[in-house]
Amino acid sequence: MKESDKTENIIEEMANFNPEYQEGFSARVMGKIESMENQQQLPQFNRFISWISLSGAAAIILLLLMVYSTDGTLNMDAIYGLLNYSPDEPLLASLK
Amino acid sequence: MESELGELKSLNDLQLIDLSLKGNMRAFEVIIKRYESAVARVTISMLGNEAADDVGQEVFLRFYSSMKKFKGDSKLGTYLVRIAINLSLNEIKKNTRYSSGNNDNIENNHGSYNLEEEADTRSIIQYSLNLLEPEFRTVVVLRNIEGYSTRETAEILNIPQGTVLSRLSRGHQKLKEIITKLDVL
Repeated sequence: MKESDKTENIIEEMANFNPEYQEGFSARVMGKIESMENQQQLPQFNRFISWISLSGAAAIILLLLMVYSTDGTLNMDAIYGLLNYSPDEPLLASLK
Repeated sequence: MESELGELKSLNDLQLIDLSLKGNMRAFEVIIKRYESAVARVTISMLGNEAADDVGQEVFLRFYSSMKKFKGDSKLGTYLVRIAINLSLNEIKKNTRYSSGNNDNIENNHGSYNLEEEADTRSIIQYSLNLLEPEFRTVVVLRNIEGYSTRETAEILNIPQGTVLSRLSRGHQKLKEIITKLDVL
């Protein structure tokens, strides 16, 4: 067969060239889409957790400021609200 | 489950896209199965078997991410083939092992191609295509393998029709040289 005929044949054969991916291609793509979606959801979850943490920290700082402005100290009694509390006070009051 | 799949298969592309956008993943799976062969033909012809699978997956992932933008101006198959061509060309650029299209590479590459064992037409086509420069390979793949017309090929590649014809002619000429050299080996 002449070389030009052989080339023509091969070019014609290209129309029947029908290679396929390995079995399970669509499942592999769907798996990647799923993991891609999960990765997109993760930052949203992280943002939510950060928001809760920052709110908590802000509340604690506000509370400490209030304690300090009221009692002028940040010792544990002040934080617990026991700075001016005497355990014997109710007993003495009842005896009077 | 089976009947749902059957129903989905009977829907057209835009209906499937609409369902996919509403979160029906089975609908997107039907899109993949519908166009898997076309994308496989393009990517395997452009890149060979090894890289083609990853690039093929990337084609559908890109489409999934930008599905909202698809308005149906062109056929979905053509749209996916365009993505496949662009990603394949990017892959070729990235690949440092890309053969420059110089036919002398046949001698250098013949270690990966055993004519005696693999001299079937499919192997010859794949091997010859891999030796074509990307610009010729792209046109030959779209015209001779995918069967697009000159006008459609020009639209997909965003080049004039005259350029498609000249690249096709030069691509065929180069294929002829490659196939002739293969016989010499």
